[in-house]
Amino acid sequence: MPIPSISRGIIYVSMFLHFYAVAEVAVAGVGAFLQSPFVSLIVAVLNGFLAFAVLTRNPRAILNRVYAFAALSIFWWAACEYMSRSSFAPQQALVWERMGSFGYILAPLIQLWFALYFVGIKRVLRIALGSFFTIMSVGAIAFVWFSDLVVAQMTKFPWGYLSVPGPLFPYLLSLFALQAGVAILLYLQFMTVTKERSKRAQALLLFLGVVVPVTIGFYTDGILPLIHQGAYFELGSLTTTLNILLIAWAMVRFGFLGVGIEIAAPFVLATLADAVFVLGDERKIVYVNRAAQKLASAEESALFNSNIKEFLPELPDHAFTSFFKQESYLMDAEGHRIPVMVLSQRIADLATGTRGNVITVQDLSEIKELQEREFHARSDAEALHRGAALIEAAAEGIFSVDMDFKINLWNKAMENLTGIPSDQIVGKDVSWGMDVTDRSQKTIFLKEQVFQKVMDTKKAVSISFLDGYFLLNKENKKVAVAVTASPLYHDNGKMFGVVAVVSDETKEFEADRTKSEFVSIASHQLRTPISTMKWFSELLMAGDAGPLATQQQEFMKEIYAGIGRMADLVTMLLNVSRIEQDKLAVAPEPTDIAQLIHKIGEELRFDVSKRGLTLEVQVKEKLPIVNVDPRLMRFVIENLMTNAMRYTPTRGTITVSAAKSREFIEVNVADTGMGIPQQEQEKVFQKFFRATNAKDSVPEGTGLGLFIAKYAVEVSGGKIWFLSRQGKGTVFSFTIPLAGSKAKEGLKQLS
Amino acid sequence: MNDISKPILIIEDEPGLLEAVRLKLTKEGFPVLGCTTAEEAEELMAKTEPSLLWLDLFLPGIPGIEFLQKLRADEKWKKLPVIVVSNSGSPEKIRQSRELGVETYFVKADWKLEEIIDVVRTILSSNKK
Repeated sequence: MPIPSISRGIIYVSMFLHFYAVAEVAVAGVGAFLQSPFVSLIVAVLNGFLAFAVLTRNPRAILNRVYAFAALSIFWWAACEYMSRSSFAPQQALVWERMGSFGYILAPLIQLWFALYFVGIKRVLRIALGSFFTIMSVGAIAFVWFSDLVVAQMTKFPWGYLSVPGPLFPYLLSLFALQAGVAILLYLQFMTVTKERSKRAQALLLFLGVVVPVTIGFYTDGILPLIHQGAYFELGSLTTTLNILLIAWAMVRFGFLGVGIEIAAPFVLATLADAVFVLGDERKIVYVNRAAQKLASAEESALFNSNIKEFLPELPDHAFTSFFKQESYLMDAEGHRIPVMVLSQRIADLATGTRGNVITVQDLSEIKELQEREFHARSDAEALHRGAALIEAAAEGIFSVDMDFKINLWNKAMENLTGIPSDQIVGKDVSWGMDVTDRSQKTIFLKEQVFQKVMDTKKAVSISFLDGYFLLNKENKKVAVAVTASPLYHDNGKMFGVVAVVSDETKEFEADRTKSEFVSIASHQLRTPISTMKWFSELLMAGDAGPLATQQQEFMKEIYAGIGRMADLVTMLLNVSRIEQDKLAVAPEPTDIAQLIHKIGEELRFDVSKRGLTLEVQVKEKLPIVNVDPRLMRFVIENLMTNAMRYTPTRGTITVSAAKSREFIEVNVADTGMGIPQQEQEKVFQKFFRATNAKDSVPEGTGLGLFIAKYAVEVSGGKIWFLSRQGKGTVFSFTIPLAGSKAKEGLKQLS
Repeated sequence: MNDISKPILIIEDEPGLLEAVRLKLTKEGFPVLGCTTAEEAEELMAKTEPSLLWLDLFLPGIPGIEFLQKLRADEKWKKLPVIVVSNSGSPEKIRQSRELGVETYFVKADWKLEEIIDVVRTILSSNKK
């Protein structure tokens, strides 16, 4: 707050008058004017006004308050002196004199207090010193009031009543001297210690303001009255006010006690949310607001006078000389690095002579965190978007279902495969999605067979064209596919759905077919030379080329057996290739399964007894006639029974049974043979697979029989499985649907 | 005894197999005529009336089925006993053969030579009556 011009004017006038008065005295000795009480009145009025000016300038600053109080006490002193000097009676004068004692005793005390506050002495010391002298001053006032030891009496002089010092008066002077001495020492010490130029100048002024009047006043008001009884000079009171004047001048010239930067700051800056550091000379912190203390995790006392570079180490030099705005970091008192935005403003006010920097610091940590979170969210979203784009662009069909089997993702490839656009299928049950047929040409229940199984076993489930599964596409054509369904898990391990990948395996299917075609062509070609070898062998063995010696006959038997095995293999290969090329016909007709079993049993009876085995045919109830392809059924039963015979040692038993259940006829072929080793059981239906114990004991066997049998069962609409324990025996079971098999066009039959 | 004047006509494109069959049939006392193509067979049949036709289906030139169709179209050969001895197990061929009045359809790989000849003997003796 700048000094209003009126107060400035009055201060100037007051200064002039005072100096005029001093000059008058110096030149003309004690003048009438000076000796008149009016001087006191003027002093009073002016000091009163000074007090007002200083206080209003900065009512909260302690220095201003103390100064104002000092000015007020001088005002009081001067006013009372006027009253005293212009009194009409000695008693009246004495009363006024005593009243004035509050002024002239307290004024030096208050000026000492001012010194104590200005130099910033430790609080404890300040209170100690201040209290001591206050007590002494109060005591002095008491003596003035209640005795005549200090002021003996009032004597009338031509220029009014004046006090006559009493015996204790010198002690009062000593008190003043002591106070002044302390003040002088304080200022001196402050001047030597402080590095701030402006502060040093202020201290010097204050020092002079104490030294000069004290010295002069001491002499004029103290020494002189003692030497020349009755002589009284005004210089004392005048020079006492010199301190006040000098401060007034400093206020006008330098803004001292005014709204200097370090004093105005609190009002404006205290409540700002941003941290504010005010720097004085040498980049030392002279002021910090509450937000700054919080940011730097330090108290005002710790921050005061520290170099700003301790907290903002990255600030370049030019930050202090001009306007500067930059992202940086702040090191707080605990060593944390806080990202901040720094704004630095240089302040130079010529009028008040203040110079410094105001540094505003904005805490960016929250913004930074938000930025990082946004970045993460964006990259997550991008990743998700990328992921979604990947899924959409994938060549394979990808779709997923939730735990209620509702489709929640359906990519472009699925749309192409099935002809169902995603907006029509998303939200619907998975059964609406794809039509997949198995070998028996029935549409399978994807939900139960694949998705439920995934959820139950928590493992991936695959079906493919290799097992006879085909997708019916939008033109209702069969498409060779491989479908793999896998469980989907959250981070916490909980399953939340199933994802299915459907790949069009037409190429692989074609390649497979090509292979099979090759196999079938080769097998056909093989048949002719095999037939030739077979028939000529027969001729030889029949003796048509002449009788054979025993050994020759034996050798021929071996040759013939080998040819027979070759022929069997070729037949099997042809069957397999027919299966793989999907050329096998299924021609259902009413078939009596029970009769078929008995018939085959009869056909094999000779071989059974030759091996020393027992065959039991158990057909419990009368089995219904079913519409199945008898050739396929025959193949399966023959194959299972032949296997049973082959792999059961002498004295074993083979049991064939058949029973009707609600939807199927179940046929079982059980033996007491060598069984299938546990670790090889899952490969049993694979092409060319023969178990190790089978290979070791029975050299013949193509490893194709069960593969074909499985196909035959499944294409007829049934299922085939087995239970086996090595060394104990095996039972193979298969089902025949009572509903019968679906007819299938085919060029070939099983041979 | 067999009628010597009427031979069994064998149409088989694999010479080795033809030899084996001819050998065996001759051994058994049957007169045999053999050829490797349907065209040759036509020529032979113009000169001689066979008692039975032993027909392979995979023939160079005119295939067996076609030859058979032509044969059956001719009045003269409508009642001629024919056995098909082929390596093909095709249901289609079997059906066609049946339709064209074939006595038996043999898949070579599944039958011993002797067995086929037994069937031939049965056919011829029943025919004689």
